[in-house]
Amino acid sequence: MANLPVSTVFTDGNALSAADLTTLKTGINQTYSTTYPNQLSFLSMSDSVLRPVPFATSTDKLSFSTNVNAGAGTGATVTFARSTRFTQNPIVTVTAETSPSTAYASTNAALVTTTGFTWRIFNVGSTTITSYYIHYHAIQMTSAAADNN
Amino acid sequence: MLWNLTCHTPECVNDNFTVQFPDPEPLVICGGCHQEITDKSPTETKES
Repeated sequence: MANLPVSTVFTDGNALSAADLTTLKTGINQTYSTTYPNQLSFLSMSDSVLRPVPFATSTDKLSFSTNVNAGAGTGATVTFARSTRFTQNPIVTVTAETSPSTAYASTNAALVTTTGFTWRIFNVGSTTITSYYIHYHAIQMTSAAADNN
Repeated sequence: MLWNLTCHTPECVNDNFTVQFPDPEPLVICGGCHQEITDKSPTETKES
């Protein structure tokens, strides 16, 4: 396997030696710049496979106690906590957890920037939504892009 | 239009931190403390 650190096992419980640090740094640089540009990855010791780690993420659960009538919708803008963590517009996935649980809702991210996003919820069923949570997951996979495909 | 959004909740990670966001909804919520952000103002635009 090309471009992996030449050493991936270090003495547990002890400070890394200068030589180990150099080895680790060299290996990370090789992996970072050659195998997966801009992509932080870790090497799984069980199967020696490099697995990508997100550059930045944010997840949250927002609670609302307002009605959303059948055939109606609403929305709001949310700023990310520690809003400097994203350097590219992240991929944002939004979903709703509704009460009553028999309700049907459609949700979407309407506008996404590095500082926040606008979400919307629309009641597509026939039951009034009396309260709901908005769950979201924002993710930026590499330092250069939201996705890593 | 870009707007400046500033949270003023004490001990919030975003307290007194201003971010810019284009055309926010009337309701803006801080992701750090879940409180509504009421300090909202359009960024200044230069006249040509």
